[in-house]
Parts: sequence; C-alpha cells; structure tokens
Amino acid sequence: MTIALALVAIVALGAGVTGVIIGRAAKSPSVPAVPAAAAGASAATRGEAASWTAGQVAASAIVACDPAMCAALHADGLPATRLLVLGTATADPLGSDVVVATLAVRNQFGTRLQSVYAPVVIASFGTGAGRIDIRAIAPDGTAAYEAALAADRRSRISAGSQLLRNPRIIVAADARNALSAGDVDPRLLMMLAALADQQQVRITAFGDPSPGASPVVPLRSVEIAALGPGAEAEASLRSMLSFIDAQRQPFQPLQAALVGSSALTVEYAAPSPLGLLGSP
Amino acid sequence: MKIMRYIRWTTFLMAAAALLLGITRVASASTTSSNTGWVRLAHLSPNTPAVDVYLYSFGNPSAELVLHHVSYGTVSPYQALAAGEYTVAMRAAGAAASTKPVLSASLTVAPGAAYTVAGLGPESGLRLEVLQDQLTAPPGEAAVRFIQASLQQHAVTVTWDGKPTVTNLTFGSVSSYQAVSPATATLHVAGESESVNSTITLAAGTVHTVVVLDGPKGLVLDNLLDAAGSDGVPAGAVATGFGGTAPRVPSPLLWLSLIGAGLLLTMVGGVGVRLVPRHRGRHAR
Repeated sequence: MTIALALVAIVALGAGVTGVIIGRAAKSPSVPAVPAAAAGASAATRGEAASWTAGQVAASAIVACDPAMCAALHADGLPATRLLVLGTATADPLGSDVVVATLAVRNQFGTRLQSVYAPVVIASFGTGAGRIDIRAIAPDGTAAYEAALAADRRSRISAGSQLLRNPRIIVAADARNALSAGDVDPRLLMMLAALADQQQVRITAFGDPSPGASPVVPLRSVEIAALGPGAEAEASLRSMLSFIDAQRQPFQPLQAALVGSSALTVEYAAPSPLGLLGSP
Repeated sequence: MKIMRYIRWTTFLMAAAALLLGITRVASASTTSSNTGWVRLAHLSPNTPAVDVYLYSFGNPSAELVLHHVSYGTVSPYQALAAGEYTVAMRAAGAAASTKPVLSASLTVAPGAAYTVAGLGPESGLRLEVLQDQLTAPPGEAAVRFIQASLQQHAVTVTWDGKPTVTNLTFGSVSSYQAVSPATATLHVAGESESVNSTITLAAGTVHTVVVLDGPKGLVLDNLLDAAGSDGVPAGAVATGFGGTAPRVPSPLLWLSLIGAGLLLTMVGGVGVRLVPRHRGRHAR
C-alpha cells in the first residue's frame, strides 16, 4: 500500500514537473501582441524593415527587436525561436546577430547601441524619428568588431586583387573597382575562385540589396554573364549554378538563379561573415 | 661541305638554346621559390570517410592542387604552392563525377611559410583548420606539438622523457609547439581508458608534429617531421605515405632534365665540331 502510494506520488510529481517545463518552453520565445503604432515608425516602414529582415538576414541569425517589431517579423515568417524580444528590462541586445533599431530600441540603449553593441548599419528604412536601422551586433564590443572589419577588408582587397589577375576571370569596369577596393563579400570571392578553376567567368556587376547600408558593408551579390550566345554558354552558366547549389553553409547562397539564358545571379545572406579569408 | 656546316651550326644552336632554356627555367624556378609556401593536408577526423581535397588559387588557375582519396590518418607530403589566396573544397572520395566539391575554408599561403590544412573533429562537426607550421627549432633544442585526433579518448595527456608536456588535450584540438631537450626517449600518451608508449628521437634542430590517432587496437602515434634544419624549409616526406596526389606544381625534375638536355647537346655539338675538321683534314689528305 505504502509502495503504491509512493509510486502514485512520484508519477504525479513527474507529470507536474513535465507540465511546468513544457509550459515554460512554449512560452519562452513568445512574441507579445503590441499595437503597431506604439513604436514610432509607420506601419509601412515597419513592414519594409520586417520584409527585408525576413528575406535577407541569414536563416541561422537571431534577431533582436522591440515587441512591435518582433510581432511584425513574426508575421513575416520569422519563427519565435529566432527572435530576441527586447523588453524594457532587457539590459542589452547581446546574444543576437542583428538588432532592428526602431525609435524604441534607440531610446532604450541610447548612444551605447552604436558605440558598444552594434556599430554598423546593414540596412535602413524610413527617415527621421521613424527610421528603422538594421544593425549587425558586435559580440565582443565595437573596438574588436571594427578591428575585425578592417582586417577583413584588407583580406578582401588582397583576395580581390588576386582574382583580378586570374586569366579566367573577365571583369566589367565597375566590378573591377569593387574587387580592388575590397568591397566584395568574402563568400563571393571564394566562390568565384572555385568557379574560375573550372571555366571562364565573366563578372558584370556586384551589388547589395541593402538600402541605406553603411559603406563598409560588403556587396553580397554578383551577376555573371554568359560568355556568348548559344547553348554552350548557357550550359556553362548551368554548370556554375549546379556547383553553387551544391554548397553548404556558410557558402550556400540565399539565392542563385539563371536570368534567362544569358546571366546568373548569386546572392548571399546578411550580415557578411568576418574572418573567412586569411590575413594577407 | 655545306651540309656538314649546316649540321654543325644547327647542333650549336640547339645546344645553346637548350642550355639557355634550362638556365632560364632554373632562374624562373628559383624566383618562384622565393614566392612559394608549402602546404600539406591531413585527414584527422576518425569517422569521416575518405575525401578528395581541392585547392583553388584566386589568381592562378594553374596553381590548383588536387589530392585524391585522403583517408583518416593520412598526412600528405608538403607540396610547394605559389603564395596567395586559395579556396579549399572537399568531396567524398569515389563520389559520382557529377558530385560537386563543397567549399570548406580559405588558405592564405605566405612566401616561405608552411601550413597543415587539417580536417578535425567528428564527421557531424567536421571542420578544416589551417595550422601554421613551425620550420625552425630554438638553437640546441627540438620543437614538438601534438594533434589529438582520437575519438575514442576524449582527452589525452602527453609525457615526453618522463616530463609532463601537454595535459588534457581534447579531441580535435592542437597544442602549440614546445621546445624540448633533444633525446631519444619514450613518448607516453594517456587517455581515459587507453595509453600508448613510443620511443622516438627528437634531434636538435628538428620540428615535429605528433598525431594521436585511433588504431585498430588502440591509440597510435604518428610522428611527423615538419622540418629538419635551419634553412626554413619543411621536411620533404613523412612516414605515413600518401597516394593519389595530382599537383600541378612544376617539378624540379623538369628543370634538371632541361639542364641535362642542354649539357648533353652542348657536349654532342662540341664533339661534332671537333670531329668535323679532323674528318675534313683526313679527307683533305
């Protein structure tokens, strides 16, 4: 009898503990419903910022946001597990990869947002007080981040200059400038070296679908043109696409597609990783 | 007469050209060597199948390096590579031809520097790590570092000549180089459940990397000679052996062959030149 009672007690206790854990787990990444007008930005600006973040930021990145912005991001498809809700008691946005800096977030962290936590704007929407900046988080502080950014740029300049010497790479004038200035994302540089090993590559342009990004942010997309008309040129582009599609993170692009039969576009997610290339 | 003169001049010109070509090539090679680094590849992930490894040069497609069927425990000999940036990619050995190599890391080769590109960790978390290799030891000493590539033992402790050298080196990690007194002595490596002893010689001026591997019957040590002199050049070969290399780096044999051909033609031409007048003289008599 005593043993039976004890067993029942243990089962009941276990069930209770499990229920608490499940309840906490279900609640922890919750996204509070907040009126859209509460945080300063217009609904249109918030929608643009949410749409850009959902479409351009890496799928593995954690996004810090105020409750209203988090709700908009959630509505745009970001799972709650990728959102770090910045409540009024949150001390800092650390632990995330990017922070969506609405007026509420700027007011919450003041100048420390730029000077300590997130020095670089990777995209910006709207103007004035209603402006929303998407900023890359500096996990080890601004000084370390800026040093890493400068070192990365030196590596990109060196790598870009080497690609310009590659006889299998033909580069349009503007794209040439971007390569020699170190403006191109390291993932693209590494990919282009591999593609050029297999066939000739004609680069027409580098780009970055990031409105309002800081000039230090690398260009994350490239357009590669066919080397001529005809089936052979298209087959060459398809071969490159096949190579690109086979890649895994961090070299798996956000999107890669043929533009008709004459060009191929490749675009990597934001933010660009630092330190992929070695020091020159 | 005219035919003999033609042959003589042709021989001279060929000999001169071949010799010149040989000298030029050597000069070019020595120029290149000042702008060359060394790379070797190591597969040190116990449960990862064999891979083919590709190094794609950013600036010079002809400097590509391909190593086929690199399996666990394999460490390639050092390969000379032009200084510059490379993308490193891998694909499963024996995979279908349509299977594309997967980009894995980048490598910056500096002139005169040596690197080990090592696949480390378990298959699920395989990573390529670029290790800078030391090519000289402190005067009168040897230098040695350790790579823990045993999945069976989470961490190992290394004792050299009775002295603790590295403690708690965890799986997939690499120690820094340490200067040790030269000796032929026992290297003792102990994990949680296994240990191994090996008598090795660490001579003065030599630099070694000792890899701790899982063998069929327990821990195995692979003693790699990274460098054996003060010239800053890595040792040419390692005891593990290696197959399937397909480097496109020009071999010194090519230049030596050209020099040999040049010298041979010079000798032949010279002999021909000396013989022809005698013949002519004999005929003249």
